[in-house]
Amino acid sequence: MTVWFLLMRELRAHARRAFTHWARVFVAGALSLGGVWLAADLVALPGRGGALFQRIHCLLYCAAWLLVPLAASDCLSRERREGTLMLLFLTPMPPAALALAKIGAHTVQLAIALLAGVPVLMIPVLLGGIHWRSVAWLALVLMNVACWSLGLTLAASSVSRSGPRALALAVLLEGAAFVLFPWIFGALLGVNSLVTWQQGYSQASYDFFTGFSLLATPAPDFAAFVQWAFPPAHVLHTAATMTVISVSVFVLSVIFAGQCLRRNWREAPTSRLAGKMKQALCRPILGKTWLRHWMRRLLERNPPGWLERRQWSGRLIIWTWLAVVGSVYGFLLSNWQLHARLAFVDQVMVGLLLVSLATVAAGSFRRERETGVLELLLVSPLQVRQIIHGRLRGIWGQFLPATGMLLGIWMYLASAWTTGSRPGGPAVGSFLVSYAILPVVGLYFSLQCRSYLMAWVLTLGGGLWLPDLLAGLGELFWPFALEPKINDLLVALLQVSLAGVLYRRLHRKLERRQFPVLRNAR
Amino acid sequence: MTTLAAAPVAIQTRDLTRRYGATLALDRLNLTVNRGDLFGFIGSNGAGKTTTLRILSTFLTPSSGTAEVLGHDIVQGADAVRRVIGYMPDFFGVYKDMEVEEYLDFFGACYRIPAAQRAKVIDDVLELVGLTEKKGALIGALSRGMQQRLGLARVLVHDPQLLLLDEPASGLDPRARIEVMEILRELRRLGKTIIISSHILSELETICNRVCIIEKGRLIYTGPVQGVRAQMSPGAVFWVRVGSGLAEAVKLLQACPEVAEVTPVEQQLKVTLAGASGDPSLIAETLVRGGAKLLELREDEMTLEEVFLRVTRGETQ
Repeated sequence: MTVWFLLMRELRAHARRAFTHWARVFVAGALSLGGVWLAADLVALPGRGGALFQRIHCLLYCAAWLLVPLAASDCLSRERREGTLMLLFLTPMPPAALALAKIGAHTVQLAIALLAGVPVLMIPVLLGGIHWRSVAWLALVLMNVACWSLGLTLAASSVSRSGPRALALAVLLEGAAFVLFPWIFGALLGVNSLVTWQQGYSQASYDFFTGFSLLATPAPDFAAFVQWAFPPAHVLHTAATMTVISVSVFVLSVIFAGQCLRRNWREAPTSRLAGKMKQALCRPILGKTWLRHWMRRLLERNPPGWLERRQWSGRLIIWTWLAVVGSVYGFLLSNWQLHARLAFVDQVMVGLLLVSLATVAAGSFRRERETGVLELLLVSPLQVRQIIHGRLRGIWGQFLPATGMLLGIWMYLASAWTTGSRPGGPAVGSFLVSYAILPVVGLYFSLQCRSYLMAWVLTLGGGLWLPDLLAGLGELFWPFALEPKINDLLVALLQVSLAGVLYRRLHRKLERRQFPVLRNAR
Repeated sequence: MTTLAAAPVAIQTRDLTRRYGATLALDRLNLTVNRGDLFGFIGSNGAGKTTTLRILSTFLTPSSGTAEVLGHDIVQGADAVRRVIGYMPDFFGVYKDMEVEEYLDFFGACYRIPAAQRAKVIDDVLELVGLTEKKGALIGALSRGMQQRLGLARVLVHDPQLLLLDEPASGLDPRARIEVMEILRELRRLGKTIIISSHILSELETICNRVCIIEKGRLIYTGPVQGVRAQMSPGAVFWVRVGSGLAEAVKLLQACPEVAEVTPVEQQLKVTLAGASGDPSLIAETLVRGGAKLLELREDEMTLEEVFLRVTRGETQ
């Protein structure tokens, strides 16, 4: 009864949030567009529904893993931040009931989101060639994935008080489960003796690939394949075992989250061990005088930027990125056999660096809005322009050493490549434009959005994907195909224009104090 | 625009109005605060106090009307206003993982105080608010009262001439409140003009020389604390204690045409004279002539809280 009451409360609260509405619109739009895109290269002939269904199955499988941490990772951490958890625990409510109600509300949200895929599913059904077993298999797989992702996200949310940290932990756990779940399924099937192409693969990787192919991309004629490959009783038994494991993971996660909440709801101070670890790991040891001098100089020149850099996490970003870039390229360059992978590594590094930049930028003004310091800054003699520029310089500065190192390495590689031009070299111009505009976009959304997640998604979507999408749409109406360089230039122009518009809006909103306040008065 | 030194008036507002959509938060507020005043800003929740202080601090702009702070227009000369005011909002505005000195150092840098001077300034303000020994402490480890005092220290870092303090004593225990009020008195002695909004009217009554009462965005009263009592009082009210024969004393007073009302309260009589400036000797004369034994006659002074209650109940015009 308590769970039901809480669930109702949660659903009502969800319904009132603008984020819920926009998330549904976004998911429905993405699934519909994804479905159309998947169907685009298939000939719509009778009996071809199976191939399309396979693709939609894969899309929904990945969406179920991806959407849950994005939507639900802040469910318990937010209650802790806002102090409402304490009030709930002053009632005779069991912690597990609260955890269950919280995740129950997100289960309903996920179900609604996945239902948005039903109209797309109708296309292959109408085309024909789908056995009812394929549809049942999809439903069973999605239920299993939901158990894993909802459970692990709930556990991650119960551990952390900070939204971004809960999200990072949830993504980490989901990543592990994304590998573990197909591997367990493959191992349960135990079909390595049925095929011969696994020569050269370890048993574990073979189990993973077998499980993944059946869970995420089952063959179009899935029913016939299953009947051919496995005895029906074995498949049923494996699926039942898998479902029991998934439900157990969910139940254990709810119990774990309940235990965590029971321990943490009183907001006890940091334990002595944690304090010692923080002191040992996060305090500067070397070059303390230099660091103090450097930070003082930064404070004199740029107080808003200093706020971005004063914490150990800010310094950690600088040094981690330097270490990552240095070690990855050092390893690659020292091993000539890996030179062929340079182009791939370039892309991954650029992508990760930009995502990291967006992550920092999307949360930039958040803390000041929560603490009320933004109001204090706005009544200080600092101009709005100085606050924005200071903050931008602070964010750029965090990633500047890694970016500089990356550019240096690329320049070295370009000059060191003796046999013609370097194959698949990085698009330096596009990277630099994205590096320049993402903090502007992120800063705008960090001021404008109540939810960090929304700010992060909009920063990445607005700064990187939207210009690409617009350029792609433009190409549809262009009479002739654009050269890649012209296309890149068009994307860059769109990015710069968007950043310009958002900069102006950011300035105006700060001038007119038109931003949602997050703080609670005292 | 008048120069700073020549301006005898610290704050002057003319028809200051602020709307939030359809809600009228401030309705043509005309207010004058003199230099050196410790000015109490009284009003119920949602009356418009915080909006007024936010406008005066340049955080918000008025929908219409004008305001001058120490001779500078709050819209045209917002930058100049920000340099001469210290605004303490109704929340702490602190980073809990910062040290006290670091926090003040940051705001000192925001106010462009040269680095060489900042250390001394920080020491001075911490001494003034009594936080010297907490200089290296984490803000999150400070008590509520200490965080409040830190907020005051932040306001004082750039030595502003005018302080705008929004509920600086709310949520504090009696000792911390008394300490904050003492600091405010000290600041007034140092020549600062202070505007303070508070719900704790008994304290405002003791420290403020002038007050204003605001209700639903409109100014009800502005002037000295004594003046508000006189203005809000329905007539002259006195308390009378007689030795014996309380009923006879009531009859004697009721027979007097200048007496509007006589109410026995326990062993005393509450006597209201007809005119606002009634003469208390009339009561004494009536009782003595009638043979009653007069033990005590004192004026009934309305407290600021009573005045405020009357105002917010709509008992006054």
